[in-house]
Amino acid sequence: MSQSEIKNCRIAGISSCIPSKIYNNRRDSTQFPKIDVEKVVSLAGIVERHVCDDSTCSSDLCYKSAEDLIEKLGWDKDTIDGLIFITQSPDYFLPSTSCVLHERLGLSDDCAAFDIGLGCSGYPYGIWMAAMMLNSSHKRVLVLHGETPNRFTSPDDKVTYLLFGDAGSATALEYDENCSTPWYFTFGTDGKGYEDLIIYSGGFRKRFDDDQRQHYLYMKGTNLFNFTIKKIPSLIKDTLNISNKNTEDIDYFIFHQSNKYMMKHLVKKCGIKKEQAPIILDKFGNTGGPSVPLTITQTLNDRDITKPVSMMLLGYGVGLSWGAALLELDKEAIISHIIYD
Amino acid sequence: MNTQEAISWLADIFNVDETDIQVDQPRESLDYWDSMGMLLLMGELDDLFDFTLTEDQLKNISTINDLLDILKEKNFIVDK
Repeated sequence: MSQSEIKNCRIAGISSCIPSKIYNNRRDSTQFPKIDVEKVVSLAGIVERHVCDDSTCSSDLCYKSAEDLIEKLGWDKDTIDGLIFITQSPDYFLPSTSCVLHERLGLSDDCAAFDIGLGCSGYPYGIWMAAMMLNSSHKRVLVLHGETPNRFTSPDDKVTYLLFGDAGSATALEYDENCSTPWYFTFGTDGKGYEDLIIYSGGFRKRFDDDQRQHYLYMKGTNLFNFTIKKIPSLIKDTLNISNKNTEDIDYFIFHQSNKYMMKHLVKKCGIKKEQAPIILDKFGNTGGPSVPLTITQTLNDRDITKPVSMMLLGYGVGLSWGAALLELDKEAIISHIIYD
Repeated sequence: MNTQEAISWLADIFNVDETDIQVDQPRESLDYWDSMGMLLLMGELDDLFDFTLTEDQLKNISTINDLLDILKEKNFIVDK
């Protein structure tokens, strides 16, 4: 288990962005038997999801989020000295999409920019990387986390096609020597499960495949559930232990929105109250790692702004990879949500 | 629980009659034991017994009897 404690960081704001087009699983999935669709809707909890067209990338959603957030914060773009783009659906194999975003956002040449190729566990990792950068020499870091999983699921695969929505987000972090409340991080990996969520072809193991299905997602749901119930309770417990806190001390446990049945099972197993663990799957589906910042914006957009909010952010899935970030959102942090047309 | 109680428990999980729990039929022939049915089963195993199947067990279980054998090995099912 890999754990760390980092101080002197604050989240200045979080913005999320989703495409305007809605796919309603019951109304729009004419290729699958209704009984199979109903199982997904009732067990996974996914009624509808927002989906991009083929010309829209995760970077587009993140770009809009970032512009929205920078404007609301009133930040001078030249003061942003770090840009991290987390995705498993990049614009290109090369260059890094963070460089493309750097140009689009008009950031300074003094800005460090790089991609992180993680999915469901990406957000805690991104916050951690930014926190470490802020504790070295950086002052303001943007963490952009976007995914378009609907674009890499096969329309013929009833196991995956009805589950995923698309989303992007921007989180603005800055160094603040007055922020003495530590942030805590825990991470883990089990590469034995790398085939539990995989797109076999298109990478350099097999660049071109005549079988188009190999260019879409394969998922072993039972292995993923097994992994989740084995690893996530101890992830939560270990993160609480390092911070000397109990579940009652945390305002929100923001889970990666994977599957309603799985999430309710986890919440019950970990002794977390229902109101501490928001679920937004019904309207957005599983948007991969960005489901964490998206859940924050959907839950906290009308929060009590007289006090800070403590949150444990939980990412887990593809890899297999998992991570937790326990932190506070102060009362001045900006929360925003926009639609991509 | 004993084997009969286990069959009744499985029927509840899969939302079928007890007579539909065909212990020797391969999983692929049982409509209720698809990937969603498997998730429900795994959740109940965790809730009731604090037990998760290993990857090998997940791969190799092909009948209800295979599952019952595992539960008997673990003494979750005891027939007096």
